[in-house]
Amino acid sequence: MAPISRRLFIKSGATLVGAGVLAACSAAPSAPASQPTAAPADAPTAAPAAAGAPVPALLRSGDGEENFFNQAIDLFEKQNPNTKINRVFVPGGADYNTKLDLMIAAGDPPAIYAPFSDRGYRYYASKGLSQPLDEFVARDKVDLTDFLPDSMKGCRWQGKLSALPLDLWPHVLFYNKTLFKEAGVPNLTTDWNDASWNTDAYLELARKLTKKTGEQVTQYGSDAYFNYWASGWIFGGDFLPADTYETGIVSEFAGDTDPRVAASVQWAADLMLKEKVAPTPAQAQQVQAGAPSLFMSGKVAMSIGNIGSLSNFSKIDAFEWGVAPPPNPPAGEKRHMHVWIDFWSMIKGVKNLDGAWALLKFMVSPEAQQIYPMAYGPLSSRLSLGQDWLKIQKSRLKLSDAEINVMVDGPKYEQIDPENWTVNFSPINSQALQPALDKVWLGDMSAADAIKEAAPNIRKLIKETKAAISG
Amino acid sequence: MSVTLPPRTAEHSRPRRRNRLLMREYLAFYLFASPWLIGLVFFTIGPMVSSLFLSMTDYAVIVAPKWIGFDNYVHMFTDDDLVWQSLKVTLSYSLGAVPLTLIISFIVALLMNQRIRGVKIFRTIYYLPAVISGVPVALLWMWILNPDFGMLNNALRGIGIEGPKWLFSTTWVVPSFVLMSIWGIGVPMVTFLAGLQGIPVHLYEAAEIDGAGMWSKFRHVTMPMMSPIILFNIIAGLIDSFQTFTPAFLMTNGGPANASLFYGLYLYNNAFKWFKMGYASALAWLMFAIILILTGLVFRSSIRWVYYEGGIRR
Repeated sequence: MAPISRRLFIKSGATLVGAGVLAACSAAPSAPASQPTAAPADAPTAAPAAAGAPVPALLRSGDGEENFFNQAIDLFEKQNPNTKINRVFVPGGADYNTKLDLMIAAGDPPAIYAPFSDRGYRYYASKGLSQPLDEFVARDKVDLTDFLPDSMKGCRWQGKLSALPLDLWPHVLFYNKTLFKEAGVPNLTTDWNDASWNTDAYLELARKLTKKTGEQVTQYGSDAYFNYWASGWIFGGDFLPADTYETGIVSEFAGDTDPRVAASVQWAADLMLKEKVAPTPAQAQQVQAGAPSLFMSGKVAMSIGNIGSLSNFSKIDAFEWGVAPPPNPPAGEKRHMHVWIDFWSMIKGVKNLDGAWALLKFMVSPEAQQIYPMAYGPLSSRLSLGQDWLKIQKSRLKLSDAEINVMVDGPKYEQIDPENWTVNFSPINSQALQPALDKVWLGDMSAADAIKEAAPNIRKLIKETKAAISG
Repeated sequence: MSVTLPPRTAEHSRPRRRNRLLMREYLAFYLFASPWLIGLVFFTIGPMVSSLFLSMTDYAVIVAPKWIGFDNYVHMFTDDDLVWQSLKVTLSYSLGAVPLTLIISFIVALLMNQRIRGVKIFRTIYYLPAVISGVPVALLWMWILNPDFGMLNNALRGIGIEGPKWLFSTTWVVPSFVLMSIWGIGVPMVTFLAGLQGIPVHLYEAAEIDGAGMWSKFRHVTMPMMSPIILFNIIAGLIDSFQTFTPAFLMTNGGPANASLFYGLYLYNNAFKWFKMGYASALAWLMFAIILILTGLVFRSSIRWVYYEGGIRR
C-alpha cells in the first residue's frame, strides 16, 4: 500500500474535522431550550394539545425509595393504560432542586414533583410557575378534609391551592429503655397532653442518665436536642411571626422580641456547655464512631428526631428503645414542635396537564399512599390512614400501640416548618441566623446576645428577599 | 555533472513556492490546533462571555434573566458583608497555606534529591497523599483535628499543651485548613525535585572551586536556578488556594459562624443553593479579577528575583 502523502493526510484530516463540526452543529435538538419568560395560563382547559403525551415525574432516589415509587406508579399505569409515566429519579436535596430547575429552564418541566428539601413549591409559585389545582379539585370533587389541616394551609399560595400534601415526618423523642432500666428510671409517658412532662423534667432525667468515668463522660443523658432554628421553638416561641406559615413569606423577625426564643436556644446550648449532659459536636463524633446515628451508638439515653430514623432503628438489637412525645415547655406553656411535610405539586406548562393531574391525584389517594409513603416509612398525609400505618409499623417495630400512636398523633400537635414552606427562610437562615446560633453552641456568646447581634442583618436580608419575591 | 536551470523560471517560482509552503504551514497549524481552538471558543471563551452577561442580570435559572446593569457589582461592594468575610477567610488561608506548602515541599524536595539508598521509596511515600484527595482526606482530617480525641491534640497533650478546638473554633478553623494544606505538598515537591535534578553539576563544582560552602552553594546556585520553578509553584498555589472549596464544603460548610466561609463556597452557595446565578457570576468575575491582579503582581515582582538561564524574561 502506498504511503499517505502529507498533503493527502492534511486534506483528509480537514475533511473529517469539517464534517464533525458540521455534524455537531446540525445535530442541535429540534426543540431548543426555552426560558419561561411569561407565566403560562392557570386554567386546566389551557392544557396543550399533547394530551396523552408521556408524563414526566421527578422522583427522589436513595434508601430504597425508588421501589415504592415504582410500585405506586406501576399501579397507576395499570389503572390508566393510556398514560405513560416517565420516571426521573434524582437524589434528594440540592441535586433534586438543580435537576428540577434545569428541566424547567429546558422547557420540559416535570409533570409532578416533590422537592424533599428546604425549598418548597412556594419558591416556584412566587415566580409564577406553580400550576393552581383548585379547578381540578373542584372538577373531580376531591375531598381535602382528610388531609392534616395545618398542611392544607401551607398548600395555598396567595389563595390558590397549588400543592397537595404527600407525607408527614413528625418529631418525637426516642429513648433507650435499657439505659433507663439500668438507672432505675421509669419509661416515659405516651400522652401528648401530660403537662408534667416538661423541659425541667427532661433536664433532670438527662442528669440522672449521664455517666462519667473521672472527667470522661461515658454515657450522655441527651443528644444536642436541636442545634438549628428549631431550638428557638422549644419553649413555645418562634423566630418568625405566626402568619409566615400561611403567607409563605418571612416578613418580619420576632427572635429578639419574644423572650422565649433566646431562653430556649440557651436551654439547648446549656445541655452541652453548662450541664454537660449532651455531647458537643466534637464529642458526638467520638461517641457515634461508626454507628449510623448517635442514638444507635447506645451511649445516648434520649434523642429527639423525626420518624425518618425508624428504618434504621428497627435494626437495633443491642438495646430496647421506646418513643415518647417531646417535653413541654416549663410553666405550662404550649409545646411548639415541627413536622416535616412533603407535598406533590405541578409546574405550569407541562405537556400533558390532564395526565399530570391524574397522576398527582392518584399519588395522594389512599390506595397509593398505602404504598408510598406508608410502606416506605413516613406517615400518610391523610389522617384517616393513621391506624393503617400503626399496623404496618407494629409488624416491624417492637413498640407498643401507645408508642406508635405517639407518632401517629404527633402531626396534630406540631406545625409546618419554615424551611420548605416559605420562600425566603432558607437564605436568611444560612446567611445570618445559623451563623449566629453557631456562636451560642460554641459558647462564644449567650443566646440573647447572639440573636440581638444578628437581628439587624436578619432584618436586612428579610427586606432584600421580600423585595426579590415581589420582583 | 552540473545542471543548469533556466534562470527566469527559477527566479519566478521561488516566492510562489515559498508562499505555498507558508500556506501549508498555516493550514497544518490551524488544523492540528483546531480541537483545542474549538474547545477554547465553545468551552472557555463562550461560557466566560455568557457569565459576564449573566453577571449583569438577575437570573434564577427557571425564569429568563433580567438585565440589571451593574447592580450585582454595586451590591457586592457596598451591601454584602459575606463577600468581605469570604475574601478575608480566603486571603488569610492563602497567606498561610501558600508559603507553608512551598517551604515544606521545597525542603522535602531537597531531602529527596539526596543520593541515598531507598530514596525512591521515600519519594513515593511523600507523593502518595497527593494521590488521595477530596472526601477521604476531609474525613481523615476531621478525625485528626477532633479537639477531644484527635491525633493532633493527643500529641499536644503528650507534651503538656491543651490543643485548640480546631474546626470547632472561629479562631482556629482557618489555621486548621492551613495545616491540612500540607497534605498536598506532593505535587509542588515533584516539580521542585525535577528542577533540582536539572541543575548542572558543573555549577556546583565551579562554586566549590571558588570556595563556596553548603549555604553559599544553596544561596548562589540552587536558589537562582530554582527561581522559575518557585515562581510557577507560587502562582499555581495562589490560584489553587483562591479556589479552595472541597474541604470547607465537606468539613465545616463554612461554619462555625461563617468563620470558614471560603470565597469559592460562598460563590457555590449563591449559584447552587440559592440559585442566584447572576450574582454568582458577578462573584466569579471578582474572583477572576483578584487572581489576575495577584498573579500579575507576582509576575511583576519576578523580574527582581527570578533568574532565567537563557536571559531576562519580561
